[in-house]
Amino acid sequence: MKKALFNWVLAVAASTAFLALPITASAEDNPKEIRIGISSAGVGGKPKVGYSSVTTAHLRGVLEDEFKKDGIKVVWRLFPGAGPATNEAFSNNQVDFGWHGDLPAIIGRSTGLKHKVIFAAGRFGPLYFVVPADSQAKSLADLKGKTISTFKGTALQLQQSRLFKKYGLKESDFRVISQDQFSSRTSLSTGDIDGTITSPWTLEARGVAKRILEIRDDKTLVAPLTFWVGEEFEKKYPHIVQRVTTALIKQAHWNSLEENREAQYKLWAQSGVPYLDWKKDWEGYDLKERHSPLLDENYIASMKQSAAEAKEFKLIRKDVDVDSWLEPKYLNTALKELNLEGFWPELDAQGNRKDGKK
Amino acid sequence: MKHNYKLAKAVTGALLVLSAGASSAFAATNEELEKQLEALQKTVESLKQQVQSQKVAVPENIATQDDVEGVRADLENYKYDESRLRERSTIKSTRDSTLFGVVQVRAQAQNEGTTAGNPAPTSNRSSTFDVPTALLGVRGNLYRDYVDGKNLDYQFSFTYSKRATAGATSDLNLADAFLRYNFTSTNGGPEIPRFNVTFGQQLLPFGQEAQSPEDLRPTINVSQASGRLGLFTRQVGAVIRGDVAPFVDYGANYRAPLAEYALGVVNGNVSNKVDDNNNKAIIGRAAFTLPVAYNSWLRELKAGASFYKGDKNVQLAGTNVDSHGKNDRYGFDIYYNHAPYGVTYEYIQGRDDFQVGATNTTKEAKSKGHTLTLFYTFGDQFYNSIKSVAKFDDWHPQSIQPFYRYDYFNPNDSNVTLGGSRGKGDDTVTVNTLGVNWFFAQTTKLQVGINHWNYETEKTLTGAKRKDFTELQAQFQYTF
Repeated sequence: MKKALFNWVLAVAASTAFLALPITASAEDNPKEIRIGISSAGVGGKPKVGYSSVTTAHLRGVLEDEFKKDGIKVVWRLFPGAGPATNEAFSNNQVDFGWHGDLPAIIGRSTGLKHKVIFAAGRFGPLYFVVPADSQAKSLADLKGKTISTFKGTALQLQQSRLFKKYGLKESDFRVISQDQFSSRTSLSTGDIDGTITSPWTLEARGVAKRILEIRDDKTLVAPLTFWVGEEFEKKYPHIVQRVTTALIKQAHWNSLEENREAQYKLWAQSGVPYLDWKKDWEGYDLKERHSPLLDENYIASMKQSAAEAKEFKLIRKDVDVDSWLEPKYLNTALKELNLEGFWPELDAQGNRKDGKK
Repeated sequence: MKHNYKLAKAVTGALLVLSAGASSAFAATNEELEKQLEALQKTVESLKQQVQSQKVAVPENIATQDDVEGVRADLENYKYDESRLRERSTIKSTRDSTLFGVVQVRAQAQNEGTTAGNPAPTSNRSSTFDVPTALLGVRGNLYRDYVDGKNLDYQFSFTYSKRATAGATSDLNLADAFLRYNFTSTNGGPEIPRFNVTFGQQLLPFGQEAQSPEDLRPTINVSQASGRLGLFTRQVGAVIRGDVAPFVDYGANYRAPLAEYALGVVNGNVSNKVDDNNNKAIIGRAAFTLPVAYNSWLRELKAGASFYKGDKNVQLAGTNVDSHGKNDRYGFDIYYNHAPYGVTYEYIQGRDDFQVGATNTTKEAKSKGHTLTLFYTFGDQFYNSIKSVAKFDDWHPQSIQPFYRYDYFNPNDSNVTLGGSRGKGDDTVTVNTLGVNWFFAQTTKLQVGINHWNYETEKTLTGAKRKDFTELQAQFQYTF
């Protein structure tokens, strides 16, 4: 009996010791490293991504240069698991900043993830609906009852819902399954699915798929991307947040210059998406509009719409208040420091320039 | 084309001059004509040389026929190489299959000599090297439902075991041998409940540790209760498994079914045997997980209850005393894994009928075990996002996981000796373990543990002495 009692006491003591393992907090002025979560990865899981000024900064080593003199390491974590993986990493204190699509950022916020939106990091662009090469479908309506794939929990899910709505259809008209981008593209080739939203170029080059829809001019379909900072990191290192923001806004300026159009396509091709595909995707778009970091009416209205849609589709259980989520002071300071106030045009809720120019 | 035109123009000009010359040929002397002809020949030669010396200016950004042929040759070489490699250097199968394996290599030492082993060594040892597990298997797909994902899957594996006779040989025993059909969609998304049936030899869906495959067990030594009550032994039968009301947090790809269940019928005998009586064993389990988002501190909090109700042959000198002898197991478990912390607890009770003394009467022995495991992980091994992060090389997050385990087992709580165990809990064994798992490569870990074995009494049933002892174990485990 005594032995049994001793064993239980030992067990409880060990339990207490384990649960009391302290997590030491750094009291330094600067962090040892800055960890950035990117909700995407290159072809075949390559740690290089194109599309945005933030990912261009990664490719050009912009933040590494900025923090080299302070000995602060910049860690880029590119997640093939997309937005949900960034949320998982942030939940477990694995990233300080995040580059996110609208839906995963909204879901994360609704489940209590504490971060602050500091600027927009890419918006608009084409949307393609792609079907297997031998498909008889000519329109979305022809695919009623068929299997459509999307990556649930990512921005693609809301894009798909908006697309269905645009053509008077709804999710229940189809059998919608969840696959990551790599799987859905493979499934198009094997005929496992009847359609998905994806980039068509390499699939068409292989002759395994074709576009039945290409929409380039609807600014309500593709919501802006978001760059946020964790609240804890922001409270602890506001000066670092400012430097990160300023460096990335400078990068957004570089991306927005017409003279750098070809150069950025070439950089982005390191992701494994060919140069020509970037060229085709971005042709005809105003770089200033697409790389605008402004938290303008367009950004706010778009995020509010996404939050409402996420609630409507029962993807979130709690409301998300967009206004209290924004922290524009770092962006405003960066614009001032870089003399870029007024460089990017303010856009209204529909994505039209407020200055009336086209 | 332009150059051909020039040449034609020059030749035409020469001919015109020649024809013009011909008209006055009658007036010219032969010598003059020869001179004219010579001059014309020189002009033609000169023009020819001019044309030949001019390079064809091809724009740099346009591929020539040669470039295209070069690319095509590369492509054809690649295609040939691929097919040759597949033909000669690839293991092929008629169905989608994956080869997998688990190997453990171990060293251990203890402060009390032992002759444990099968066959028992003739002299004491206080240390040994060992290969406790080597398992090789194949799993895959027998039928793939492209529309709904209601697939038919299979798995079979073999594990080695030491022979109980003298010699250096070992046996290869069948471990898993089953096929599984999914009644619900496996490709429709995480919100769809799971429901499948597994037919064949398989692990039992009882508690926590017993249904974990070899590579996922957290400690070097398995829990005493699960081991000594036969719950790790694979059995042959049919088991349905599924879940209801899955809670899905799409924001983090997290799925937590409100309830999971398993219900099955098995032989009630050990692996690789036909049934040894006319009664089947029934096994069942239900577990409940809190439906909370991934970000909640209550995520992965699960409580479960299991039962196994079987009949066994109770024998006296090889003759059946009772073929309906009790062979029941009941269990309750709690699981909480909120990285970096984790706690698991498992209670298992056994109720077995044994023959009493040298009589035909039987009596029930109640056994019970508690297993508590606490762990804390330093590192990112258990975060899916970090594990799958994009990379060029073979980088994988390393983790160090210290753990503590309390493992108690009382084989006989009755007041008489039954089944080789003395009553009143005299054969109770408690093992306290402090250990660490170091995950240093994607599928490889080093486990080190110090176990303190504590016996309730110093004498065994036969009167032999046994002493409490402490052992140090170190083991590499790799999977592929």
